[in-house]
Amino acid sequence: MYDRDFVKRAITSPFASNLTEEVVRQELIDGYQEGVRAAIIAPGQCDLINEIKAEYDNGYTRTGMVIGYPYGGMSTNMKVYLMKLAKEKGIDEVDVAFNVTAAASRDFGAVKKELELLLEAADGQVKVIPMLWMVKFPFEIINELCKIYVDLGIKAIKTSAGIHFGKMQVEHIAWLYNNWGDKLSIEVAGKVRSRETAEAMMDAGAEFFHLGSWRRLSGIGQDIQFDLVTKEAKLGAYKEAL
Amino acid sequence: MKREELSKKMGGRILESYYDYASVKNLVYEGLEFGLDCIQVFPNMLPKVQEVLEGRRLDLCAVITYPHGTFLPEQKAFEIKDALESGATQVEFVIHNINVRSGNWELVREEFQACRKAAGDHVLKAIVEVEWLTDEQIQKVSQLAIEEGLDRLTTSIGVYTMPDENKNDVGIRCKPDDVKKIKAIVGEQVKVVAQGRIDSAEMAEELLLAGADYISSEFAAEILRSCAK
Repeated sequence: MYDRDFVKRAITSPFASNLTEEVVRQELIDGYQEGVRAAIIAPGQCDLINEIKAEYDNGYTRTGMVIGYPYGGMSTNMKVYLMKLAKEKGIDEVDVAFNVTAAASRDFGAVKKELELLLEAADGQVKVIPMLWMVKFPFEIINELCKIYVDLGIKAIKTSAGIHFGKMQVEHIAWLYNNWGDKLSIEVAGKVRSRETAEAMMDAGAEFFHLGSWRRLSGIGQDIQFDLVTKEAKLGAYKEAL
Repeated sequence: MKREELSKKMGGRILESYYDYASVKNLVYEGLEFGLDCIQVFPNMLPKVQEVLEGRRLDLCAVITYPHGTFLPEQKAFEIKDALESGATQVEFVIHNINVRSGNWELVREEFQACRKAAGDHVLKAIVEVEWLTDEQIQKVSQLAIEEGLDRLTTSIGVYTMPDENKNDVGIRCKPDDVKKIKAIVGEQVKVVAQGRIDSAEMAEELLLAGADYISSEFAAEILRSCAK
């Protein structure tokens, strides 16, 4: 795959606590200028991303926001409040963390009920992309979640999150694509650290990638690195990190 | 340290992606059995906790905008009020550390004020995330916490990992120095909570000796069971 084509499949999410305002702004601008698939922000950054989009919009990059990321532990009230905010701010898509405690308890009715309320709040104006937590949950639970998502008319899922032990494997994608690939578009998230792995996942059916290292994996430059000693966050040579 | 003495300073927590309702129930039972200072849960666990408690007294700490604090003050205030209405008796929010690291001190102050107002008289804790901050930033945050009447400062969200030499994930643990840096500024005006993979009585005692007023751990019950009565 050409590097430029890979960039179009990358998604950047600069809202981690170890960044600075300046680094976040530059990351979003770079994302628009390079033409990543989406730039995802936290609820406190809606005005910033809209400001950057107004100046750098390229007709391809989408704005995204997270709700309940990554554990889905917020109350349904709070998630609905944030969905309404995303709609009001004109955000294109929202990554939603479902109620993981309910899912772990096989209480899928509770998971579905919450998502119904979120879809109602999105009112068809914000694309809803729920997570799966594939790194943690057995395929039996993933399957039930996918059933719910398809029942509710959802078209895309995000596989996991990066803030945890373990990482996504090509086998996760193969299973997901073989079972649900005709109904759900697959966005991979969860410590994908090499282009080789990403391309193998694409071959298995993945479409987009949430990547901290999107420039490096695309072969177009260096990404943000955080130094635990100096506490600096800046573009630099890759080092295995958080 | 004796079990009873440590339990009053110990909070239990289950903030991960694989805990089910049974885990929530167990945490409540552990909180009641050991007389924990509080149990720390996600806001959406509060109804289940109340169901198990059946009116029994146990302080419930809801985490707010956890684990990333990149929210506006009014968004944090909304979640705090929502959690208190659902039965939380304490709230713990993650500080907007992009603001801290960018030197936006007035925004940090506004956030503290909004959270204080929303929490009312309930115990209000803020998570500092010492991993990301310079000593100067930790000092400034601690000073603002005093000025804006926060009750407790917590060292970290406690779930970050980093790779070891074999590229296996290992959890970042709370260190005595993390506690000392905050305690040196806040003294007795704001209490300090040590949080971050605290998994033994020895580690807990070391952090208390360094100045921590409270310990928060997913291993609270195991630690207390290992202590003499």
